[in-house]
Amino acid sequence: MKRDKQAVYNELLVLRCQRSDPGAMEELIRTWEKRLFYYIHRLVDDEEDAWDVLQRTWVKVLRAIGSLREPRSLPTWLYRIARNTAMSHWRTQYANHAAAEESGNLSSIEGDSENFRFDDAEQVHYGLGRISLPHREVLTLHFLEDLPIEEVAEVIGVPPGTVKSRLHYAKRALRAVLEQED
Amino acid sequence: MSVPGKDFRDRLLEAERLNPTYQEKYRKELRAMLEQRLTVGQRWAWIGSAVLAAGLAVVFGAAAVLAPSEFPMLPRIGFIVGVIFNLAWSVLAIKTVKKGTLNLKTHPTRMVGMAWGFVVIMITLFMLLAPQLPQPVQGVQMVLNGLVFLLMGAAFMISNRVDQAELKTRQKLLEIEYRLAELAEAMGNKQQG
Repeated sequence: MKRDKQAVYNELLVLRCQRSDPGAMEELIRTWEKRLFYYIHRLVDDEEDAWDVLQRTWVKVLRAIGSLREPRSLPTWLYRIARNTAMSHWRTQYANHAAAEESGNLSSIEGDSENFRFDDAEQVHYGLGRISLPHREVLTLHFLEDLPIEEVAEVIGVPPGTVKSRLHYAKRALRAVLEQED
Repeated sequence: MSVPGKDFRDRLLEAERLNPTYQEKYRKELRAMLEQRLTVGQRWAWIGSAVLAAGLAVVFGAAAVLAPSEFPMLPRIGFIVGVIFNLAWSVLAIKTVKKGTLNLKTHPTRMVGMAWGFVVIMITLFMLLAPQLPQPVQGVQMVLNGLVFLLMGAAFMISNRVDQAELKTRQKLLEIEYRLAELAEAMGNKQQG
């Protein structure tokens, strides 16, 4: 089965880290730092705290990468660790947000038929800061990695149906914010 | 909604304005995490370890040299092995103190390797000395104990070697796959261009 270059690169990087290849860990950090920080900063408002969470994420990654059995799941694994580290930073605050937001009718969501185009990165970045935390989180994962629903569910730790619902309402919320700005 | 591509992702990341002070603080902590600088206590522990190892090397060396001429050869070899091991440990400890950092990936491997080598050699020497014990039963016991230890150790080493060989092969295959993917991408770009 032909795999894309990025998937092969991810697997190779994990293997090199596991074999204690000099520089492999630095390369892993360099490759993923920006994306992970962007994601963490969507979860943790304060920038200084976000950097702190990122640093603690790398500590956990360094300790656990030797036992990563599925190197192909590197993106999901990294985001899951980053999320768990951020959540332990803001546990109560996030739980209150999530409970209030998940009241949508899942059965009415059939697929993404919206034609709204999110092309302007600056606008999207601005808009992300104005929607709720659970919506911001799924949209950030979607924009950064375009992860399948199942993998996002694995990162966030909720059923795929909940992710689908959240993503639907998140796009709607972001569109509303951006249309308001226009 | 249009599926975002890598280009969009990069532009989204660039849209974020960051405080350089916080970034610099993060980088310092990251460097410290990767380098694992020695604390004061760890530094003194390594210095103590170096001094002790050097002292033991002197003791073993003296024992090897000053032993009477009728002293059996095998125990003398054991003393020389003790000198070599302790000198090597002392050198490792001094290098660690001078560098001021502990590489968590290589140091434990080296330390375990040295200790392992020393123990295997000493056990082998004891097994070879076993027949010279006054009571044969004690000799047999010593050989059996030594064999059990060596067999377990050999099994562990072989298993470790096989794992490492598998990982190395897997890495080589991935490097080839990556190179092929790069070439395929380059050819695709050329055809489109």
